[in-house]
Amino acid sequence: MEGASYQRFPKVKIRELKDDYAKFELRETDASMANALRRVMIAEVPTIAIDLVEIEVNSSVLNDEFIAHRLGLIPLTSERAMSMRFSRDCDACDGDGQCEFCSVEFHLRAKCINDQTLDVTSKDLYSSDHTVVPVDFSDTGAGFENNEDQRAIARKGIGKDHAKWSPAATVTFMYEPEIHVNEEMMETLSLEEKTSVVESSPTKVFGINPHTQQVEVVDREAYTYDDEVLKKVEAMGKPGLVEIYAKEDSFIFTVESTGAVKASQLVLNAIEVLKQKLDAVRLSEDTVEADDQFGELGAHMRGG
Amino acid sequence: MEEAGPSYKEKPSNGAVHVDLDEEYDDDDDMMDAPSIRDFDEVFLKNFCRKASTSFFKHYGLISHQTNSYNDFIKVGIQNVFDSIGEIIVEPGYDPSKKGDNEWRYASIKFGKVTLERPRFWTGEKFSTDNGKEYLEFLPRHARLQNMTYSSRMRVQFTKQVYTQELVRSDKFKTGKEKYLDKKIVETEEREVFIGRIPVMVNSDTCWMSLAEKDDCDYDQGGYFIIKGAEKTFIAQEQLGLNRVWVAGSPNWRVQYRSVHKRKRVYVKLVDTPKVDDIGGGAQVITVYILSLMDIPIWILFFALGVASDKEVVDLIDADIKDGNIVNILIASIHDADQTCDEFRKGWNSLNFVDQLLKKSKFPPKESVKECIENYLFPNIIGFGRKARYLGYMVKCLLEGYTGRRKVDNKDDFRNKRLELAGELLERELKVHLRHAEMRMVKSMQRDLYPDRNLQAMEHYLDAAIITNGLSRAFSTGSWSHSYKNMEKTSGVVAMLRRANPLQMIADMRRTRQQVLYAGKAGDARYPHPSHWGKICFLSTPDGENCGLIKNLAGTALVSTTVRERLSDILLSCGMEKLVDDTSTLLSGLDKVFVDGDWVGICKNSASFVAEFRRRRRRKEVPHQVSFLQLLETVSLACDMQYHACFYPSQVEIKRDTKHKEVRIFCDAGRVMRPLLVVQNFHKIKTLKGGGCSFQDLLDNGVVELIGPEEEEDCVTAWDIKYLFLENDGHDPSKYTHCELDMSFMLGLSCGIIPFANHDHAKRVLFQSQKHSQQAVGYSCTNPDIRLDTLSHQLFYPQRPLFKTVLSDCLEKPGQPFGQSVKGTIPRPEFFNGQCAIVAVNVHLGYNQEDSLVMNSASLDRGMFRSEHIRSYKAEVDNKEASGKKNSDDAVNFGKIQSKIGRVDSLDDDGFPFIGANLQSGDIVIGKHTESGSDHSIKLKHTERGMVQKVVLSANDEGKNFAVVSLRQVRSPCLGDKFSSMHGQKGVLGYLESQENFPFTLQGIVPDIVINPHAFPSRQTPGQMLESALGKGIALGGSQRYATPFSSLSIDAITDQLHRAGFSRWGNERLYDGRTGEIVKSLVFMGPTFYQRLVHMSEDKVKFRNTGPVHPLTRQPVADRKRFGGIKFGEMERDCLIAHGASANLHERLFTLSDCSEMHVCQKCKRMASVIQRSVPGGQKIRGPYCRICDSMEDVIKVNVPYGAKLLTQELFSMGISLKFDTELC
Repeated sequence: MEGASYQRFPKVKIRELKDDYAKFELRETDASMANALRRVMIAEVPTIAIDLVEIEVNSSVLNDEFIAHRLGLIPLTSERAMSMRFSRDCDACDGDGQCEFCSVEFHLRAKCINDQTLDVTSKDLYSSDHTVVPVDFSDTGAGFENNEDQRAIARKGIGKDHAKWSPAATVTFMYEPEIHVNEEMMETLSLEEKTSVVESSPTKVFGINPHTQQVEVVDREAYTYDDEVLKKVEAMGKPGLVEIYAKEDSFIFTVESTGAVKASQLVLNAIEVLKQKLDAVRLSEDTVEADDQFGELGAHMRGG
Repeated sequence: MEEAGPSYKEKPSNGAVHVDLDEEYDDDDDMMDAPSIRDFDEVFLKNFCRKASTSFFKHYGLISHQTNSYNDFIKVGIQNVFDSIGEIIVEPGYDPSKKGDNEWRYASIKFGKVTLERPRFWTGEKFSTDNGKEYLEFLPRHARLQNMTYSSRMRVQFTKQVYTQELVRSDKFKTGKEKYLDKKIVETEEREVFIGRIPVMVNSDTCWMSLAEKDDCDYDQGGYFIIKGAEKTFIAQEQLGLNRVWVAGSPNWRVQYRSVHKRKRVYVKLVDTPKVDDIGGGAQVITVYILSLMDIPIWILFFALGVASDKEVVDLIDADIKDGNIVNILIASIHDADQTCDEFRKGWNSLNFVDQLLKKSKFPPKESVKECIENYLFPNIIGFGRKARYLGYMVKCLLEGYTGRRKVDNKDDFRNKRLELAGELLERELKVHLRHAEMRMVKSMQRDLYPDRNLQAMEHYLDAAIITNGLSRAFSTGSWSHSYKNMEKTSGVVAMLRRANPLQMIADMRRTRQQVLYAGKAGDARYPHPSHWGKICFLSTPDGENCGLIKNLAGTALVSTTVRERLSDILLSCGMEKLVDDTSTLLSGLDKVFVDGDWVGICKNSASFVAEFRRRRRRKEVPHQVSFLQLLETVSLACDMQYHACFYPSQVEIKRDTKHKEVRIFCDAGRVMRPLLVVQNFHKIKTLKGGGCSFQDLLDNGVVELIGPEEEEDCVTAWDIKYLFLENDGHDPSKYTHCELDMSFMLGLSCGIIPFANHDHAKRVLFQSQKHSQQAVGYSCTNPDIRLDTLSHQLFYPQRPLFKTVLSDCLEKPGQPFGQSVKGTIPRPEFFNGQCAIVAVNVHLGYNQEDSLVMNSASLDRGMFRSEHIRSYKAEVDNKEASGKKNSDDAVNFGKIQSKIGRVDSLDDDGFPFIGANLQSGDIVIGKHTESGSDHSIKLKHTERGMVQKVVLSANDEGKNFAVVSLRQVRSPCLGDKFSSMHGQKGVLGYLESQENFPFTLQGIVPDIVINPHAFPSRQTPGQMLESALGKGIALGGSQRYATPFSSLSIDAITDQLHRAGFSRWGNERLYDGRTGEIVKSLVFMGPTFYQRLVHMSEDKVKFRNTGPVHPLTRQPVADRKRFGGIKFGEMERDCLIAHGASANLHERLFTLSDCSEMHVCQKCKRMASVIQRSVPGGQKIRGPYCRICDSMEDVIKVNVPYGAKLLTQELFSMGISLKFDTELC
């Protein structure tokens, strides 16, 4: 295998794209690639979230920590996050995280004047930067009573450090299934048996063609790899009636975003972060030093 | 059976259980014969049951037994205690030196009506003069915040007479007496006096909260007391029922009539006589124990009670005289009587015989024999003839027991037991303290009865503090007066109300306890008994020494209170005849009627009698309500008090014993009762349908009735509605007379809310109900701002479980409206404490071995299982105003001074930290010092820290001002914290894994918790899997929601629901490895499961030190965690190092790092040389080791020894034992 190139050129096909939802196919690559993308989306795409809360007055029924925790979990629009600095390596403020390059300041003032419970939501949160505002939610806060006055500093961070910085609600992929129905063997079954095979799957993968009364694959991707059909077929004494394989190199991704960044942007950012990470490996001195050890791999990493 | 009696059909008992209820006829409805059960829909009836149970809990709540018993005590019990005192006669001291000129004076005191007002504050002169009220309402929250006792003042009417006595001779013909004592009343006083404070049960009729619209806390149902700021509750005491005839087979055959009073106890027993030649020899005779007199021949007592002949006695006994055994015993008994007392049949000979015995006894009674018998032998039965009959009945029981025709009574049977609650217990304790107060009063009054002194006001003698403090001390220390031993105290009657969560609080108040002398004597008491069914939970009992002795009331169990109305009229009208007061009438063949163990009458046809009685009870003709008039007669509370309509359902219980031809009726307190549906009256449900479905309506219409333990034996109860419809061979649904409301109501509160409890191993259910549910962090109260608990926990985001059980469903109450955006209210699931976590059963890199679990750190970041913990610190100073002391220099005061012992940065000038201050370990929480500057501040221990939540300044009624500072700590779960599911599956957090590393499903779901599959096979808790699978179905929008024990869903229903939702039937999921992205080979079981966070947290348990404080005596490290102590390196650990041969390590561990020390030894005399200061020639003084024995400092060398060894040497030396040390160089 000396000299063989493992380079592949993955293809992406977008199926569905909404602000907070994306569904796409990723083909001609490995699980490692797909999973790296997923992991980066969850844990390493930076966003902005409230990190420091200074409470002036809090006479609500909820205590300071409770409110601070809830504030932290409010998703903020984070298009700027990629270009912002981490407060820990911000030169402008020596890392105290209070400058415009690495932080955004918020203010929350709420006072309940009547004897009703007052709903305080993210709408009451005033940002000093119009690009970083709370994602529009109908209801985020809980009912407080009385008086609140607080200053909050939002900073850039990644999901690895705290889940509040994770831009992803769900990121998941599945292997594209390949389903073979042994038609000959299927013909030997009665309609009842066919129905029972079809219905053994909890999702609508198979169907019976009303005209030909043949078992057909209705929706391949509805299959959840739950093996129910295979077990059923086995139990009927007809192994091989249905065979299902997972394609090793094509994945169907589902990405849902919290709203901090758009779902499409989330994917792009993830690729960006992934690139940066690879660059970091490629350019680090350790890699050069380890050239002897890894030879080919090191060169490959450096693009040679 | 005789022909007499009502002439309707008498069904023959055909071998099977005889159901006399069948004979009940329907008169008030147009339907002539009871409609068949088949007219009803099973589902309709099920829904009805649900509704009925909901209304049951709405009507009674969960702690009605506590409040009802207390209310009964307030209404009647207190008065009884004072009435039982009777007239107190104070005799003068008869001290001749004090006699003087006047006559000896006597005093008599009688107590009258007791009044109790609602708890009130006296505001003090300051306020009352200022146009304010003199008294303010004293609410439970005041008591809690001020560490006071929530109590109300008790006043009693008394009549005091002071008189002189004179012996007057009089005309015998006129007065009947030759001389009598003439009372010359000198002085009479009649008024009310304050006699003490009675602790008030929260939410009882006396409590303000019973009137309040809104409780302090939404979860609080009352039923407890507040004593010096601490909440205390009674544990129901299981006692053997008195007032019933007890047949016992060992050590010898005896039949007992028990009573608390020793004098009133009666027992009849069979004893062996020594061999006598002429009468067969070794025969057994019946003797009787009365009035503390042993072994009186039974025949003598019969004749003393006025029986005329032997024949009459035999007729009274009414035993089967065809049986040779019985005849022999009777003949031997007659013979025995003849030998003991000649001619006892004549006149009053037998009575005189008893009289003489009494007079010879150790403590001869003051009364005459006749009075003795009247008052002490079966005191509830009036008339000698009836007493003789009762005695005859006892003898009959004895003979039947002996010949095997009657079963020996089982003391573990619940029908023989009564639960003592607040009423009985307080009555007992109050009696003790009242006696004490009375004694003190008599003593001090005696002194003032000397002729030359004057009697003072009653307050002077009657010390109210005795009762107030006595009761309060009994509550605080928990030592309660013993039920029958005079001077002894019992423990375990009062318990602290624990408030980790609302479930624990209620469970604490539903606990019962059986006192045993010592563990060996418990016998079968620890085992569950069939009679516990529906009354006592079979599962929830603690493990260990109290196993089976402490039990919990079942879900629908109630405890009866005394029914005080007289039953006799109703009994007579039902067909009973009064028991005649003679000894000659023949009553054989008739059924005896007992009320509370006393034989009151006979009836010819017990079946019709019982049926009629039941019918009337169901139609509410039997007393069920303490009449208001009677109430006013006894105790009237302060006039501002309003009575709630107090409806007591028919708590009278009737049992027909066909075998012994007895009918037993009970209306005493302490019986555990439970509601059952009356199958026969099902048709009335339809008439009810329109409106009223309150539980009272159901009771009034006889659809539901309360069944006690004894009556239950007569009922054929279907466990569930479905058994009424189940018809197959060997199962006849028509035999059922009653039906349970729900199958799970046989379980207690904490068991009944466990999903699928019937699928779990009983031990695991016990763990959950007894341990985990009580340790779960939940939402303890809704009024934390006005409480000062030393330690309280609260979960940030408590959730309700996805499933429901019938019990939890019926207990749910409408809660607060949720925000303004959502309409309606969400019910309060206050008995569940935890969160629904997505749980996968998987090995997660082995980090969940041995019952540990892996958690998702992202979930924790988002707030899962986050909790706050509030600890309060209290400091007291003397109240200067109250104590009236001058401001001296050494008076301690709150305030800030520069302290040497800790940081005071967060303190304000008043000595208290500001709200929100972050206090670290070692900081001062409360600054306290004297004027002179000595520091009395309270410092945080090294384990304690937190943010200041609140600062409360308050004062109690004992002249102390105190301050409480609460520190709050927010804790997210961390490694080592304990969690548990609802199935006794506990585990500690073993690893926090980040979200991306968890395996994920197709939907992108990652588990919150991963538990190890090894947790299941040996623990046998499939319930958890069912819960998980069901929860998954519910979360996906399924409609099957109930997981009630015993009536839980079938597996098919659960699997189908999952299948319909598009998931694998068995709850398995295909997962993708989060690290590699590959498909995980095996399917993984995953679903939402209710998990509880338990209070055991690693932060409270970590113990570490390198160096730190040592014990002053031994100089070894201390052990205490709070004092920064070390962990013991014990014997076993030592053995381990020895086995390893790690001697250097061992030396370091046990010597260098422990109490290494030096000692000097004189090599000449081999004794220890101490370091002393001595003068040397030349006038100098030097300090150094010196051997006193050899008088030299030569050859003194220094050795390293453990300080413990040196200490031992010195201690032995002080005892005169000198140790010698051989030393060698090494």
